[in-house]
Amino acid sequence: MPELIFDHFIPLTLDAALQVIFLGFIGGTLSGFIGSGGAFFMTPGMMNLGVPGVVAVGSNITHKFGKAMIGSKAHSVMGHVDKKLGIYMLLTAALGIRLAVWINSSLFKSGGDGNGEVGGAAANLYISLVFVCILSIVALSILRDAYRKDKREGGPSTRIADYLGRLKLYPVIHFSVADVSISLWIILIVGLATGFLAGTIGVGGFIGVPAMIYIFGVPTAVAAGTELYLAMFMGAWGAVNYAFEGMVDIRLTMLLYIGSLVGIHVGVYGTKIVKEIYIRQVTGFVILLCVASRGIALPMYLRQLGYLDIDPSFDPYFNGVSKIMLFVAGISGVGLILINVFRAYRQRMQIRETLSFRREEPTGGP
Amino acid sequence: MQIICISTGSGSKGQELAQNLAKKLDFDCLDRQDLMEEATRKGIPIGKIEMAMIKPHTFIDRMALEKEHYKAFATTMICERALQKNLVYHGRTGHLLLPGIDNVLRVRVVANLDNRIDAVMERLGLTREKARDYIVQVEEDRRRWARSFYNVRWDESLLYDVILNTDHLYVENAATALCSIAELPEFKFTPAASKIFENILLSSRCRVALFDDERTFSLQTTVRADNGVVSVTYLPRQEKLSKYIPGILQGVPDVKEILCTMAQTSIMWVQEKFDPDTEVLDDIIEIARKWEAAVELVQMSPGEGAAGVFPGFGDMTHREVAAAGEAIPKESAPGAEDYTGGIEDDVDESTSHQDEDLKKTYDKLISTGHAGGCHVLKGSTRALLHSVFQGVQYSLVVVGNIFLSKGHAAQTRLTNELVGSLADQLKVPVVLAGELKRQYLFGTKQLIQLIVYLSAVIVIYYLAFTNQIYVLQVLRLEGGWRFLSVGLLLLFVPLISLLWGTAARLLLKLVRFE
Repeated sequence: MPELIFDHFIPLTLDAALQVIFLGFIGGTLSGFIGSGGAFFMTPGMMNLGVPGVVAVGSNITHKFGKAMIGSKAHSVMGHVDKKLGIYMLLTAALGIRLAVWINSSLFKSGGDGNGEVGGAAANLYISLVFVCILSIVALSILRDAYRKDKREGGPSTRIADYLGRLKLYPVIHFSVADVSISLWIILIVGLATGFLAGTIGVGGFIGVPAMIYIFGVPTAVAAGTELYLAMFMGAWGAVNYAFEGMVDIRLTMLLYIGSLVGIHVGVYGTKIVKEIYIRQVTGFVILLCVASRGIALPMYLRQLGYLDIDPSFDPYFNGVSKIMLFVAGISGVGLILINVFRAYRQRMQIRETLSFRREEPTGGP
Repeated sequence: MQIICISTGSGSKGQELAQNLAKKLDFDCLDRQDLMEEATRKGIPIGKIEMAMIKPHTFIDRMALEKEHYKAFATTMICERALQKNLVYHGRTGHLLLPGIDNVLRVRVVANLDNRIDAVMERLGLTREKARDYIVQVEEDRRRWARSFYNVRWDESLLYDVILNTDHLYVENAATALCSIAELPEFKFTPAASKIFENILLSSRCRVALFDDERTFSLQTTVRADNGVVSVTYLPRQEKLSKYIPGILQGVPDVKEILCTMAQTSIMWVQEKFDPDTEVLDDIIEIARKWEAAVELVQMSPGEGAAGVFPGFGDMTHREVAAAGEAIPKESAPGAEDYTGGIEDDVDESTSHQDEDLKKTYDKLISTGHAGGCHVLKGSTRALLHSVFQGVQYSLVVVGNIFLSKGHAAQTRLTNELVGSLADQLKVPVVLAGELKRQYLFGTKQLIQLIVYLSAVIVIYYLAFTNQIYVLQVLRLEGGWRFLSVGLLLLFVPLISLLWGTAARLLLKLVRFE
């Protein structure tokens, strides 16, 4: 691994810069296709390039801030944003982010990498563990949903929302856009969890959106729009917090933008032409591969912390396999999307006849 | 033909009134309960649809389709029963099933809550408290039903022609009063209303036929009918299923021609005179191709001697227009001899060349695969809003040359009024044909914007990456200077996101990737 600039930032070669742009493109495409942030791909990708986990999360959350700003505007026009709900959730999401930044930064500053070349092995291990645990649950839930036999009569379960509704934990607040009434306490807890995960691994949306759907009972479209609105503020607050700790590498943020803001259009285009069930399957498998990729790097961090006795010369192999696996996940997922997108694009370029049928009119007399 | 729809809350004696009225007028009486039983027999899961109304988050694709299935079924059943014999329908929102037909008498029956509670207690044998809860719950279900199906408030008084309070009016007398009202010319079907009715019935029958067939049940379509010509639009991802559509619809009575167009969305183009050689048509086809949209043509003309928004009819409702001017549309029964390929034949000879141009314009849309229906309309702006197809999700409305008989200033003013009304009603972008290119296609302005934004991005990136160390030093400023670096970051990130985001969007637009 190369020496870090100011102990935080990787020296950017052309090769590394192109890889970050590529990460941005894949993350952006998956983001547009799935409707979540894409951090589940970009954060571990940057870590594989040697970027310390905290800086990867900090740079990514800053990138998320600008992107969510544009995205939430578009959702707002379509009436998919419940701003009141977003603001209530933000009250504790801000606290969650602050807590996450404090933990990450403290672990990073504690060092703990006497056996490795990269700073902040403790933070890297912590971020990777949270990443693996949370995203495994998310990926398995998505896949279970995608392969559920009872597809015709299914839909999001309302059991939790109904149960909480019956409890009537006052004060209960009504949200007119989402057309739901929710206990303030539940909102604050979910906001805290969303903010904490957004601050820790940069993927708050994977918690925020399902929570809004299953726990609050918010319609799916409104949940996605509101999360993006929330992500704008969480991104800004996360960026402020990480920037105060000096953990934002603006160069990485800029390079991510180059790829992601093109990729997001490709991904959104993909959702128009690919079946929803297929979107869920692709999402589930890609996330699962990202999880496996991060899982492979865990022994390396454990060794750097002195918990495992492995030859340090194996580190490049752990890192290399993790990197390959991540790129395989991203490239195969995006490849499937791109094949469909370009097939549709090519078809669109051809003029198609309207199917036409005319019934023969009777020509004779009565 | 005559249809009376009675909408009522629990315990308001609406059902009693409907039956009494039907007996007095010798009309058929159809109850919502009958409709639901018939729908259930057909396999439509009414209970699950109702549940999905109450808990909107349970609304999955299947339920959304079932909802549309029920809507089409209910429309068909009401229309077919009305064809057999004049009809009194008693239910929640029957009057909303026949958009554009103002000749339906829409009645709402209300009553004091205490009286309604008494009625429910007597009818269902409940305690007072439970009867109150029952009424509140049913009202809430109705509210959600109307909102989910039609996006309206069911208790909105403007949706009704008559509101009767049965606290102060005996059912017998209320029925007698309604008998007199039903005799008014406003509530008799005119030839124009009959034509709209026939189109609604045919499109509903086609939708039911598509839903009833397992192969096409999952097709997300919009179906429009006009004088026997059925236009079906379907989503690109369902292209494979589209081959079944003609075969299924061939079996529907009164279908003369079927046009199936693949489309993500719809564009409405309103104009007084269509010209197949105009540049606007090419622009609209270009946009339709990019958006995978179907284009619906509406040829809208003011009548002779009109005043106000539409001379002569400016202050009249569509019903008034239709009632007062039955001669305006020269109606004729749809038949093979006057069939004109989907273009209405109710215009006089002086406008036949207009029809020819409209037909050519529509043919051009058909040949490019973007035909989404074609209508000829005479009347006010309100008439246009009434005739807008309720189930269609428009993404754009284009208003072309219109009010041609007016002077330039009046034409501009009236056109702007029309644009404003359409935008308010439809909640979608409404643009003038002249603005189309600038707003939705890649023109000179977009090219300049792209060059400026892209240049700015290149300069910023060049400066940042040739001075990496200084940039990182700014991010690592200590003490009070850290506030400055954070502030700069918060300003810089949205700026670069906006600049490159816009440039990337324009670049993709340039290569027609939208």
